[in-house]
Amino acid sequence: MNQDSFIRSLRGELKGLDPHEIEDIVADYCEYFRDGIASGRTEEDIASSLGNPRHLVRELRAESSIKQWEERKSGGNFVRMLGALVGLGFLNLILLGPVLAIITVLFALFVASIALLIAGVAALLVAAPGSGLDQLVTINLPDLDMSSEDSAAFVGLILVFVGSAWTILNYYLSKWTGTLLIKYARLNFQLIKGTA
Amino acid sequence: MKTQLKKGVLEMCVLALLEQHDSYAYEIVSTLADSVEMSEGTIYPLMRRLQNDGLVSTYLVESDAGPPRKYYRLEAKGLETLQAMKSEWSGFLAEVNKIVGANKS
Repeated sequence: MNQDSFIRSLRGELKGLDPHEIEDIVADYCEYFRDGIASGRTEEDIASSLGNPRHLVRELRAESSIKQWEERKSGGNFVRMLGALVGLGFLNLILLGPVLAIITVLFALFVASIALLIAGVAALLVAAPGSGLDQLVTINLPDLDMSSEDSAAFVGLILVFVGSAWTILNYYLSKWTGTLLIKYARLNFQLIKGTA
Repeated sequence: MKTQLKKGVLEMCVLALLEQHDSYAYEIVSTLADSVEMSEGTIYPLMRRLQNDGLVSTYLVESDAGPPRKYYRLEAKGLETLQAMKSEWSGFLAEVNKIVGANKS
């Protein structure tokens, strides 16, 4: 493999990353080739000692996804980071199980909190005077007289409040899970051999 | 003697080199390659991680021929990390030497 084919294959593997980052990474490896050639090595020799572009990109990708997650803790970034770490083999099948279970629980908690919010808003709408919704929706709870607009409003407020609190709690719980996952991945980074 | 090093130790070696003077990737690898067996390409993932963690920073230096070259500089946080790694390392060496009986003089 010469410099051209190494860089081409590197670019191919890097597809999907931030364009600036791709250019930066490509520039890094081009610089390496320049320095190597200047010291009298052949392109083929340099390319083979650099290693397989696919393996290099796996590490670069994992690093870039961790950085993105640290910069912006969104669900999408979390999934991307998880994917990159799985690609690196940090999360093997044994560990992937528990991680997926935790994510499922987090997801279920989110669904529950959204359901609470929706129920709360619905109850408030029912209570809103003149909405006419109380004709459409009837809520029957043993100890609650939902026919009264006041109690519907009360229940609605409580549901919205609990739902919001729950959502916030979930948010921090997910963030914390992600941070823990990074710690684990970093530990692995350091344990994996420097030779490929 | 060529030694296979774990990444954690490789990281310490890179930081130690940068403590002496700022350097660029090829120089770091060639210096290490004399004593350490490593896949040269992994220097960049490693450097990016050190950079993301704020241990090193980069700056470009114009070269006589061709595009500028990227230099790495050890940051205060990197120096701190290096010192912690060094003391951990020498503690580890001392323990192992005690057991295997090296340096018994």
